[in-house]
Amino acid sequence: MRWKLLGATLFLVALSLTSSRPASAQSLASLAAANAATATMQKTPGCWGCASLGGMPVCHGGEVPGYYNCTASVAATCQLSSPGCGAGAALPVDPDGAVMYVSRGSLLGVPVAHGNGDPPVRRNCEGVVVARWQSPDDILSVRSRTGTLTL
Amino acid sequence: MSMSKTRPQWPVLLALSLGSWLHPLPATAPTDAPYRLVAERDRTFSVPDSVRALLSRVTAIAAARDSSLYLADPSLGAILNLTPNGDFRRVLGRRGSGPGEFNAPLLVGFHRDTLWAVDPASVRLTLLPTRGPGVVTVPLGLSAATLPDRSRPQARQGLPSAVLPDGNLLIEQPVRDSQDGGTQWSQVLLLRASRNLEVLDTIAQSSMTHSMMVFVNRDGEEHLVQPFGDDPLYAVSSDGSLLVLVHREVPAKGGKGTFTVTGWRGGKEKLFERRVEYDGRRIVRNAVDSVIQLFTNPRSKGGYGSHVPADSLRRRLYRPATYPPVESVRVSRNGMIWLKVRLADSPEGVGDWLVLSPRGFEMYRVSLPATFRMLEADRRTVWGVDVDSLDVPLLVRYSIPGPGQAG
Repeated sequence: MRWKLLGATLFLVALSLTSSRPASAQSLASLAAANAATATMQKTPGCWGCASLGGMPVCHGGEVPGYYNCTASVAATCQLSSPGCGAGAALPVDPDGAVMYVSRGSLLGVPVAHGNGDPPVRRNCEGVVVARWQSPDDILSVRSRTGTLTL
Repeated sequence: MSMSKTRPQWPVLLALSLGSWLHPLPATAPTDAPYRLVAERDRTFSVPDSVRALLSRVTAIAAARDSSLYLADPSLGAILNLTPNGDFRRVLGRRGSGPGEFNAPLLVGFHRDTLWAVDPASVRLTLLPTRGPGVVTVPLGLSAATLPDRSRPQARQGLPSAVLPDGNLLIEQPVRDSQDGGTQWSQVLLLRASRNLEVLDTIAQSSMTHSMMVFVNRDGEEHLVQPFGDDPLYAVSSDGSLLVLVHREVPAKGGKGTFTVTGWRGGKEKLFERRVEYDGRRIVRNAVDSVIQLFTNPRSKGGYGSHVPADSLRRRLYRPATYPPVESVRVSRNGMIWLKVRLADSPEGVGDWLVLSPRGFEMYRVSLPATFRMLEADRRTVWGVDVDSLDVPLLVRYSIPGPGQAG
């Protein structure tokens, strides 16, 4: 009887060990998939569109593709522009928009909103930070916070 | 026997006197039109220069129960809280993308004791308690999580214009016209949706063909409001309790017309529908020229400095025979409906406001400055933005005199 009990216990332990591995692998896989999905969904905010709300034209974020300059005035106008938004300004960017390319090349860019004291940031219409106007320290700061593509 | 020779009996006299005692007539009550009141600037409300310097484009005001004010200014990137007299109390939030931070807050209102703010730039709705900590962020548009049940429609293209008393959202969703390449909005849907943007009901579907002029150029777009547009208008009280829709289409031949005011309780229950007949005011050529000048000349007072040539503007301008009878609409906290009207009998040089009761009955007309932009109202008080002699925006409060003080 004692041997039978021991055997049953060992069988149950073995069963639990063998069944837990796929479950663990599955949860890791789902976590990775969730991360990948999140990374794909969370686009870099910035490209603007003009929307209307209550009769007022408003600058609407999250429009991809769109423009990087948007100015709305009270109940009258909404102006969008991005100098250099043509095909010549297109750059390869990760599909999730998470990776920013820092370039000192001759890319066009437009200033985006920034707080007082922050270094001025310019982006092209693909959401890429253009560092032509940034100091080397600012570029290092951006690079330390984000991945970098090399062209 | 004519009536003039008949002596009224004493019960009739008693009833007349009792009636006049129970319902005193206003001082200037015409027989066929609401009587007119003249609003007075309330000098006890004064915003300090230090606060005024922060404000450049106030788009919404919500008055709390204690008459303190919450202001949205997209240029400020925060919500400003002022005391009932206009002094600075505190700032809610700051510019940024984190919880409780804003990029360009456009609308504010209340859901019970909670303040809500819509930020189209960040594409989200933020709920902030007026007392104590805690912030709830509701992602909108493409940032909103996809509904698990894909068969239910989701309002991902729209923006909320109010939080309704049941906690659901009033969503304004424009629909683009596919015939012109998708640059022009042709219709707008007013939807009642849950906080995950699941559409619960369609409240209204309105035309937008006379609302905007969209000009697309090589490196950008320009969207201009049609100054004589007659598409339907709507407004919601800051607590979301009353939604009002105004259909104001100008008849093809102008002259006499009718506009319709419809009230909805909480975006769910239709309360009333009133038809108001009016005599329209003709649009003269000088008025069109002034509008074109305003759009194209940045030096003109209040000008927009549009890059669109005057000829293009003139071609796209919608110009009915008469002004649309209602220019704008506001709903006060107690359900009074304020319609800025421009009718044949509207006095020159002032803003003419027709005030309706919460059930849509005409009560009185109020004269306010023509440049005054009303953003919040109470029974006898209105708040809004006016401009001073230098064209600088100024936050002001006006008091409406009682019936016995009619002007």
